[in-house]
Amino acid sequence: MKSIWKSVMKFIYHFASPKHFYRISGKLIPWFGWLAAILLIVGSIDGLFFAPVDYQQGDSYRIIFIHVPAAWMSMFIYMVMATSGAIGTIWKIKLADVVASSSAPIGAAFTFLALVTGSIWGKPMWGAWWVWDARLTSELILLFLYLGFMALEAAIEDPRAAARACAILAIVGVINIPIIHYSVEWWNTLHQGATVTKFDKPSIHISMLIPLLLMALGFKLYYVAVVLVRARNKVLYSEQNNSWVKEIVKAHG
Amino acid sequence: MLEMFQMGKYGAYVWSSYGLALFIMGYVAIKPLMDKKVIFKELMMKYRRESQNLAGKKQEQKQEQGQS
Amino acid sequence: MFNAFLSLLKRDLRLAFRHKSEILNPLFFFVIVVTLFPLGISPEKQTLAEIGPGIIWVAALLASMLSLDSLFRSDFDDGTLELMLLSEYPLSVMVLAKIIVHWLITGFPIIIFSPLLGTVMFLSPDAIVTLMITLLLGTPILSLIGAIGMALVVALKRGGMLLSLLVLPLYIPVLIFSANAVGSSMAGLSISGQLYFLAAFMIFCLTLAPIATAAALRVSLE
Repeated sequence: MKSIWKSVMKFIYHFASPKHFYRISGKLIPWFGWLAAILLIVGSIDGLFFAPVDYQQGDSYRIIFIHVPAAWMSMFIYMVMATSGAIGTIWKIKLADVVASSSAPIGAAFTFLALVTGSIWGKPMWGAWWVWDARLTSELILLFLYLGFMALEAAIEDPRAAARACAILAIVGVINIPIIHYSVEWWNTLHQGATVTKFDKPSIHISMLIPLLLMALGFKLYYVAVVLVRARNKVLYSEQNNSWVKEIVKAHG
Repeated sequence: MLEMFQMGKYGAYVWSSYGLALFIMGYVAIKPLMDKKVIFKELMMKYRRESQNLAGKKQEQKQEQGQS
Repeated sequence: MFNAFLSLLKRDLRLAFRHKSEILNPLFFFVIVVTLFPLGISPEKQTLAEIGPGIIWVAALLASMLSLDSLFRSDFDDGTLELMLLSEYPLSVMVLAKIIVHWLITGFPIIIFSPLLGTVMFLSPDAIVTLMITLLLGTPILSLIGAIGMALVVALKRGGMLLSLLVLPLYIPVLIFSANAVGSSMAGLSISGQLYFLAAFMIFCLTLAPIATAAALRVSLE
């Protein structure tokens, strides 16, 4: 049993070595990137023009095809950061640290996008640009968590120590997110139970669900492509004194 | 056709949301691709400098050997 | 191990009592911040009673956060922390002793003075009792979560602003449930749910926060 485990770990370390990662990710990025682009374009067109008009909200509900996937991604990426931070801490896999730090700005961008689109959607629905709605408030707090992560990373000079510290912060954050989410939801029902929240309506029609799922998948693939590009940059820069990087750079130009 | 783009009375809201998404996601995707070019350029210069230094040193060594 | 825990507790308490400002300043800050609100908003009884619970809690939260520096700073500067890391006792237990001292010198005085501020903000007697109970359950959480953040930034020269960015979002559940419990008891509603939540969250933090703090300290001391 132990030897199997050992060989599995050996394989992972080999696979996660910077050189292999650079080579393999280079092949994967175009696939993910183009697939994401196609899905996003098809999903947008379907969502904008072919999905039926909502009888209550009119065409304004089409914003959810951006808002909801962005909100999903904002939570998903924070979870990825905490998980890869934990992997980097426990098994000392440098690549996991790189993934965590490469993910943070992308996650923050999605969180920001979810916040702003939620607010744009809210203007015609609630008559105000900002309402302390449970989802928007949670999203705002999540943005704070992302900013804290990025600020901590920027403040610690040694990249290795920064990765360790950020991993702890992300894990603490990920444990707290459900608690924060629950308390905000509870607080919200107390103070304004009457607001229309159609963001997570359970009985969504299939013709609206298809563009939503297309967009969600497109966002996910987009994230994978971008995080790989960012991680490659970081790997290249931090391994700049190794011969394989020299070979790649020289072959490039 | 034009009506489809007007989105009832919500055109401004819907299109600004999609436009913002395009802008943010476009920036987030293109920025690292541009960074990559900068890194390659920077590393290229660095390696060139290093190899020049190395060549220079070798020449100096040869000259010293020749003198002795 | 328990002896080492107790002796560290005593040592830190003695040190804190020698620098009385460490105890008085957060308390003073707490009182001043609460005083500012009637001046800035309105001295009317009804307004103050409505916003009072939230204001007292926000002030307690800020006072606790701003005093976190005393938790590890001096021990970091003079190398005591490094000795603690090398000692035979688990770091998380030693850290817990320090957190308890932090709570005793910042959280506890705030609880003692809260009835006074509750009166000033026109809270009902019931609400003042609730305020004290929520502070009793909530301020330890502030010290525990704050310790994690402080341990992450202790090695940085300018960590103060960063600390607030890291810690304040994590304080939100405590603020929501505590301030709401005080407000609800003003309105004569049941508050057992909120108190159960706070108690559960405190025990949760009590078990996990020292471990996270110890891990963060190890990173900072590398």
